Amino acid sequence: MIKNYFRPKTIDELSELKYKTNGYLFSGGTDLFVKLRAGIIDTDTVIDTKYLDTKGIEIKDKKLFIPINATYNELRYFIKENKLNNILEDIVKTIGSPMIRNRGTPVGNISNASPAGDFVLASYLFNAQILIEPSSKKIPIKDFIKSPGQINLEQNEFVYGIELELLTDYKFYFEKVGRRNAMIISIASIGILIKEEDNKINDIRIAFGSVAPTILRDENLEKTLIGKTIDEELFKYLANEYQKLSSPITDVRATKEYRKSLVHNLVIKAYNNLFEKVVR
Amino acid sequence: MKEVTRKIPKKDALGLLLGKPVYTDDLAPKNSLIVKLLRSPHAFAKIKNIDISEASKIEGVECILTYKDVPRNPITRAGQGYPEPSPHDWYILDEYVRYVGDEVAIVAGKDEKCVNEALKKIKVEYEIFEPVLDFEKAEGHPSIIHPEKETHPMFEIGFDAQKNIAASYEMEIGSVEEELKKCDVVISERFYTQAQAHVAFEPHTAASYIDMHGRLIIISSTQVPFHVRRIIAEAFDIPIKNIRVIKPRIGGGFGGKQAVHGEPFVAAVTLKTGKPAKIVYTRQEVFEATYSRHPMRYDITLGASKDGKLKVIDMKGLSDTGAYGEHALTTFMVAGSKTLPLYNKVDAVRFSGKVVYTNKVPAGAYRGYGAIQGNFALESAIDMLAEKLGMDPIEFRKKNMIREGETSPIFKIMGEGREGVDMIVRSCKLNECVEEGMKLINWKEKFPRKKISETKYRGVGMAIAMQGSGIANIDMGAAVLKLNDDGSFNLLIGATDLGTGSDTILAQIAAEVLNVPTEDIIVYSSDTDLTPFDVGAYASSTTYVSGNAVKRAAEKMRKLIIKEGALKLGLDESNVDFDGKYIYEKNGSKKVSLKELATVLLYTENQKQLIADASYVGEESPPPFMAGFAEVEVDIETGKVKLINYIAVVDCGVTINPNLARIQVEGGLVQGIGMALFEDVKYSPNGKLLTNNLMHYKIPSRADIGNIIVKFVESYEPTGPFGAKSVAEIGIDTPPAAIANAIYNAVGVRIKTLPITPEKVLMSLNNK
Repeated sequence: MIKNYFRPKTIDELSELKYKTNGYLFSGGTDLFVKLRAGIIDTDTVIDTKYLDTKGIEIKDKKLFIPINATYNELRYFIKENKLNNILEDIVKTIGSPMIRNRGTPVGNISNASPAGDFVLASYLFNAQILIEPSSKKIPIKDFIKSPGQINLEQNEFVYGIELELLTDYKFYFEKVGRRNAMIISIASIGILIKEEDNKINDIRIAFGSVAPTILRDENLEKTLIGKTIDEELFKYLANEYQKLSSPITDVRATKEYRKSLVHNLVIKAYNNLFEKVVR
Repeated sequence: MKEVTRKIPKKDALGLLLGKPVYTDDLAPKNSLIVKLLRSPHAFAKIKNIDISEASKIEGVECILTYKDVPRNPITRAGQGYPEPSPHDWYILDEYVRYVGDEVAIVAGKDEKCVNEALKKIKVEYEIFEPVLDFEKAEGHPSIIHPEKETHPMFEIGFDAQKNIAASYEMEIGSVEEELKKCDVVISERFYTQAQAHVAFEPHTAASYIDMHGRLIIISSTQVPFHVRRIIAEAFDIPIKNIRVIKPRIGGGFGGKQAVHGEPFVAAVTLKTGKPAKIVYTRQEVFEATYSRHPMRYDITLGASKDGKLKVIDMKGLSDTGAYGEHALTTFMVAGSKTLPLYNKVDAVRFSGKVVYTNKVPAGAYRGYGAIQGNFALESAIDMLAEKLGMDPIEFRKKNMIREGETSPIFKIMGEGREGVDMIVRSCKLNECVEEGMKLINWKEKFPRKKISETKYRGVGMAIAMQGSGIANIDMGAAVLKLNDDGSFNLLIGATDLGTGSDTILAQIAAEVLNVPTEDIIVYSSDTDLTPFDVGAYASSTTYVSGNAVKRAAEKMRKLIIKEGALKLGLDESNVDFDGKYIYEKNGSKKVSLKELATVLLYTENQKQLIADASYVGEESPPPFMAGFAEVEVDIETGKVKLINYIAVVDCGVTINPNLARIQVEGGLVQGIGMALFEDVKYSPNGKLLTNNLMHYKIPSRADIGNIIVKFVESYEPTGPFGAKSVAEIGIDTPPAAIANAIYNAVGVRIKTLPITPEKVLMSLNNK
């Protein structure tokens, strides 16, 4: 049961409170309070981060910076205003419901470190750097997330923001397969970014959600693809490779066999949508 | 008609929208003790010992009751006609727990906090048994779920507790085996349906207190207040006269509240402590410990001649009633009685099978009540047979389906829990429904499929359905009309508006007879002290059964007004008429307004209260019919099915209020679509329901149900009030089969186990 509620205003104050109380940080509460009620999290201390003085979402050094407390809806608005990468908008608009997007935050999503986290997938695709305070260090998302629910943080540390690359001239495809069309957690998801040059791959990033303990992305495999001709054969090869790399589980949403099939088919589907007849 | 067919909003709509305090939890006494239940973590166990000593010491805890503290009378929670066709196999509390969620102890205290604390401190020792979790292995399983000798049926229902059989049934007309030999084409297929949850917005809620006379008053979110009164009396050995049940506004029931759930537990606390008590089920409790739909398995054999005449239907079923046998036999029989008459020209028909106990969440009533399970199996099989015959599935249906003025031997043989009633279908526009639906979905253009891209296919599919209008010769509804001094009327009805709008349409029926505006009819439902008896809101009965009672009561009231008006005017009754405003001389100028007559009757002249009552029992149960058409788009890379259009063309006779009839059909369709595509039910290996919240149990969202078009064909049921039949359930029946047929037509994959998840579609495509 919650007995202590704090409203720190500065980074140091927040850090100290977190260190002393080991309390849970609370911004939107869309995940925290669900888990508290379900008894998955048991804490007596909640630290409300919404009173921290932050600047809001901004572009700096050609990167998109999403600070703590920025909500999905604020991010969508920013993307629209500044005409940024549409794939990010494609991903964010599938998260939860309008009510959830009004409260929930990207920083909260990556801190939960769920392999089904849609913003976690986006962070992998855009080579996110996680800004951690009070140490002011930046670590890549793949080093920040250790395993499902486990993140790389000291007790006095917290995530202050996420820095995403701003990419132009990339083709993209995102799909989230769930049990229905809205308010779902993915059974499997795929995000692909491709930059092409003369029908050859100049850069490619492929990430999958919900098919491994963390987001599945293989940068070594991606590197071997640079310079390759974009054709069906290549994507069939990729479909098989990623199917081998995936290690899904069976849960209440779907079986691992179905997820394995989806990994394969979603790669082909992405190809069909990006380079063949596009019907969405 | 002036009032009937008026599209007026529900009488309670504004109050509900404004958030007025009208539900059970709002009306429970403010000083109610909070009641919660300790529930079993085991699927099947015997309580060896319960230690409540530590829990009782917690401050604020008022009482903790175990099976040792409450009467042990076998009852059924099912609110049905009496004697009930459900076995009496349930006890307020028992030393056996038969599913994860079964009640172990009742805890009452001053607030939620102390009660929750106490729940944690009760120590229970269990002797754990091997549970029966697979309904196909329940019969003859070494674990006997109801070993106790007190459990019994009230009459012969094929009950055999020693074999875990709650009910069984068999009937045959003609010789299935002989006729099958004569058929040119025969198919045999097996289908499964799942334990769908109702997901009413308002969770099950009950409150109780003792009034100044020492009577037990229960406020309950129930579809069946009069049955609740009878069942509670039986469970606690107290006279019916000492119980009053009040039904306030209800936030949906769909069959899930056609039973007692929280009522016995608050009653136990109030009877023990003398204090008010209330229970509000959590969403998890609603999923885990109320009711679900009966999961069923059907083996269907159909036989036809080359020219497309359906000659034989054989349906062999197995139904899973969970830990208790509520509605076990009746839902099972309805799977036959509300599907088989659709094809009334067969030479032989058989329906047989068993309803078994398992250590799972009990099954009970749910909109469709067996008909949807049977419809999925039969209407899927009909498409498969038509394909084998090389016939268009619609042509095949038209050749074989029931028409107006025809009958079916099923009506007489199969009722609900007993024999049915012979009847001729006086109104049946099924053919018109099919024709209209074909036009609206553009069947000729779209059947069977269209390729949208290399990976997406669209297909259309359809199914026909029937339901009933109450249970003939069993369901009774009564109404009382009372004239007030301003010329308005109180309409007192036992019929239970649970969000359907039945209060409104019953007022419209009374207003039509009296030729007054519906706004002058003040409706009150339902209260066992104040309103006349009605079996309650189930079996699509209210419009037809209660509606006929209201119509009769209004006709009597009209006669009374004419009689008293004639006296007032000094004329002979035969020379007087009533137009809704005035009682007037037919061939003259004398008249008196209804308002004036009403006032003098109460205060000055010939003083009396005008009151009229009537009861109605259907001698038949005229079926509403419909044709449902689905258009789906299947993504063969993910197996996802997108429902593009769903067309429902319905014959429910005259729609008393077309808007309210439409939302009944729309709501039914959405639940049917949910059962068809989304609502998956999963258990852990040790018998705990995993899909016990709205995160894991997916009902369709608005983005999932595509475009829904509901159309009513012109129809008139001569025995119904102003030509009406009931409409509550018919909308739910067709989506599972119509969508399954559409998916097959789109991509050639036949899914025979509900729900049709993307996973099943993709895996079937992979195996093709």
